[in-house]
Amino acid sequence: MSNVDLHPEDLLDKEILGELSDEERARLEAHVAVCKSCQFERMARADFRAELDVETELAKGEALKIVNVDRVRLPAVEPPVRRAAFRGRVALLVAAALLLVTAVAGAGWVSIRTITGKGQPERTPTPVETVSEARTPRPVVVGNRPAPVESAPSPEPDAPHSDALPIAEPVVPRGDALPIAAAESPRSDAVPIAPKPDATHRAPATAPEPDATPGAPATAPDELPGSAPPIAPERTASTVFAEANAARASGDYATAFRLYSEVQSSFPSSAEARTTQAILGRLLLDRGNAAGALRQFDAYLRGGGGLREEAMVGRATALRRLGRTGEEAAAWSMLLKAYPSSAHAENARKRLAEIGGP
Amino acid sequence: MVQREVLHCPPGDLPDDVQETLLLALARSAAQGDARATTSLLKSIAPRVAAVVRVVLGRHDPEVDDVVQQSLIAFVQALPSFRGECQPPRFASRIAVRTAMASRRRSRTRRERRDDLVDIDALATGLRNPSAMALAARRTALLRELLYQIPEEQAEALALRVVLGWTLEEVASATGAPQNTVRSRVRLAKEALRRRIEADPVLRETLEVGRE
Repeated sequence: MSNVDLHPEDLLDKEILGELSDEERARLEAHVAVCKSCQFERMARADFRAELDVETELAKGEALKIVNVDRVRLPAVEPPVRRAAFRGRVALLVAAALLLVTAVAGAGWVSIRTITGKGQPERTPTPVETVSEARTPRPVVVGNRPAPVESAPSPEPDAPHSDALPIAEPVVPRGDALPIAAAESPRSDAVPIAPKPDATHRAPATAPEPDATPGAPATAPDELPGSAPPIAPERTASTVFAEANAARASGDYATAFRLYSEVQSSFPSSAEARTTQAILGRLLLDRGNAAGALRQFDAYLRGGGGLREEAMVGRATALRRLGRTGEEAAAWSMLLKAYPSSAHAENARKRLAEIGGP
Repeated sequence: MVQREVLHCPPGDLPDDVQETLLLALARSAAQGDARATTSLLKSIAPRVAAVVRVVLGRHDPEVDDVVQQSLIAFVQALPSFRGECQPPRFASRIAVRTAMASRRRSRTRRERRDDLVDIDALATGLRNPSAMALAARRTALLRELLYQIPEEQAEALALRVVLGWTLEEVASATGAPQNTVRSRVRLAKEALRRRIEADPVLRETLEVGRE
């Protein structure tokens, strides 16, 4: 049997939880030393964990679109008092049986309405919307304080149960099972939230106020009662860089460009300014500005830094798009010389073979 | 009982235990139809959902925004079945993973990378050396691709385990499958993973392991 059939998943779990004993760690390391998939899994876990942390932080600074909750209808759930519902169902079954017997015996018709009316369990409120709400949706202004909810949606005891599910109900077979395919079209229902200025993540686009003091703004609607007003963060290379990243993450490339440029002009000797040269180079390359990208990559490579390999790849790509084949070949060759085992080496060699480079 | 005004405050930077309690209370209120609680809850979990979707699909995938919305809608719709056995962000994360994978599986067109440059976000982090970043990007790309090529149950188990870092027990609890079933799914997924690694010379070389 191959060792791939014997992956020590329990030991990997203990490693995640920090519960490995010395003996268990030794066993795990012995396995990982000969198992590519477990080695890969460990590394990929670390990769994804880092990526997830970065993405979560970036997303916190974004004005994410939040669904319009009034337009999302929840599936009906079991009434809280299950016994009552069960008794109701039993009563219905008994009534139905009586009806059947009566009908068979020719004793006359019995009104279904009469019987089920007596046996119907008391209906509990549907989770999100009553039928009346479903008919007259009340928009929620997300991002601003909506009108206070005076009371929970009132149940409509006489409403047919089927009315509570006006849309396709997701299949929720048990417990925390999930609906997946039942999500409504997001574009039509999504209501963009007005970007809420968030002093902890995003400074004003113009006229930053590093000296802003507490007390100036009114308490934001969503703040906890009694919490201190936000303090505008000091504007540093790091904060502007973070703002630029957040702007880029939200697709606001104009702001991202402006902020990255600000990092370069306002904090030229910072590490962030160096990094922005590589980032701006890549952004410009993606947007078809190969000449601008080349300038950024050249600037980065003149100063050197930890992203040299990537900048070299970017520079070669920019030269390719500019049609400067001779310089491109030289750029790929320099990359191969500097980083012979680069992840880009294979493509560099292929490209050199295509253009007849050395 | 959590006060109504507290229910509608975003958890924000509250202590972890308070935040957990508050989120659970919000989830319960939201499940009962409290629109304001639902909005607060969504605001709290949306960054996590967005992050999970981006990590599963890849940040530049054109479907990211749509899938985030679909995930949030699916989360709201699933709230009545939420038993509070885990934290709402965790519940939402699993929904996001499944929604993202379902979306990608439905998509007929597979977008290829524009070029072989390292993802710009890896550049933005700027903390690791470029070779390490490139290899990390290669690993995550390979795993993402694999998620759409193996059977759905295996893909979900692998994603929850590797992308979200869950234990077998946690995956079993979340999916409702017996732990041994999850173990089997993970084993099969890892066998497919091994074949993919073998087919990638760069990854094969970087994983300096002995012969199997």
